[in-house]
Amino acid sequence: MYERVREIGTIAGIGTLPNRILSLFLVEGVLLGAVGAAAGVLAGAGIILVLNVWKVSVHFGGSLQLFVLSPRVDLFEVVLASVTVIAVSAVASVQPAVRASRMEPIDALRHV
Amino acid sequence: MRPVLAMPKAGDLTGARDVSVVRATDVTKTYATDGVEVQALRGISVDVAAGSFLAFIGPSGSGKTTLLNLLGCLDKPSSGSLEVAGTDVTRLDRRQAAAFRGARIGFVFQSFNLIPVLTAFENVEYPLVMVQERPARERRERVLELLEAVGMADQRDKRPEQLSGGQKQRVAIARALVTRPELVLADEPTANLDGETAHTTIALMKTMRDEAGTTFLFATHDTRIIGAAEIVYTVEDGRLTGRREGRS
Repeated sequence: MYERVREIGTIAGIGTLPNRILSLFLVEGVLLGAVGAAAGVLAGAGIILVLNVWKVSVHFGGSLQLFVLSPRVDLFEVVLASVTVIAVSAVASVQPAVRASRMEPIDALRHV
Repeated sequence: MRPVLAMPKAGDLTGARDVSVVRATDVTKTYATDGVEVQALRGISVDVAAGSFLAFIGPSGSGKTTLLNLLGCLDKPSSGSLEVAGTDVTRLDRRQAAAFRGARIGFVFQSFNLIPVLTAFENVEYPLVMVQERPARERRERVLELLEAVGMADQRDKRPEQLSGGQKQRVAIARALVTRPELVLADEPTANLDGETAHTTIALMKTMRDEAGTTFLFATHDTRIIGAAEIVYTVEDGRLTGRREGRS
């Protein structure tokens, strides 16, 4: 938020209400979490797909037996992880959102 | 509506007016910086008629920007009374002040203050979306009209980082005018504009004043604005020390 102080001063200065600034930052936090979760799901699905297509095999723990990797992930785990990421992101954005909404525009506009 | 000439008297340059959009009486502003008190304004009294085209001039640090900040409800006086558009703005809380600014005042900030992630179009549209909540069709019409008027319609999809200083300034001017405010406060609005663009921009603002009765208050060193202003106040050391009728 620090690097966006002047931006906050500008939107507050031209009349954006404090509760609107609060919701802007909260929505941004949730969207960042959602985009991050979606990117993580896509990357994970891609890796799983590649491992299943290429039939990668490894020796675990020095074992002589060869294991063929065939990873799978439960849909519930994907949803749980995604919801957790979004929730953490939303919670993490509360404090900066509150600070932004309480900032005096004149102080924010003076910020260098 | 022409202002009535008043004999200037340092610190109290109130002139008779028909309808005042700004009425400041003995306004002071004191800042405390690192335990040191700085008196930015020392008893400003000024009465500005609706529809004025007025410039505050004076050396850097004289208090012009501080005065504009107070008139724009971005800051509060340390003492004195201040009415803007008939509202005692010293009594407004943060939320009320924001609503007042959004409904009545347009700002052209000294350093443009465009939102970096938005295009020129979106920057001008912002107050219509987030502050005044106008319908999409009206927004588009108004934004394009203003961008056309400031000669930026063909640059509307560019972000601020892709624009020159003068282009950013024109977008900032369009953003200030798009809400059709009663009062426009502009800090060095033509500083980065070439002669022709400055002339066009000043003409646009005068047209708005003539057609909609918008009041324009400038803090400036720019002789082009000073020449176009109908009233010029001199600010020195936090006081109004002179007032003269402009040539326009």
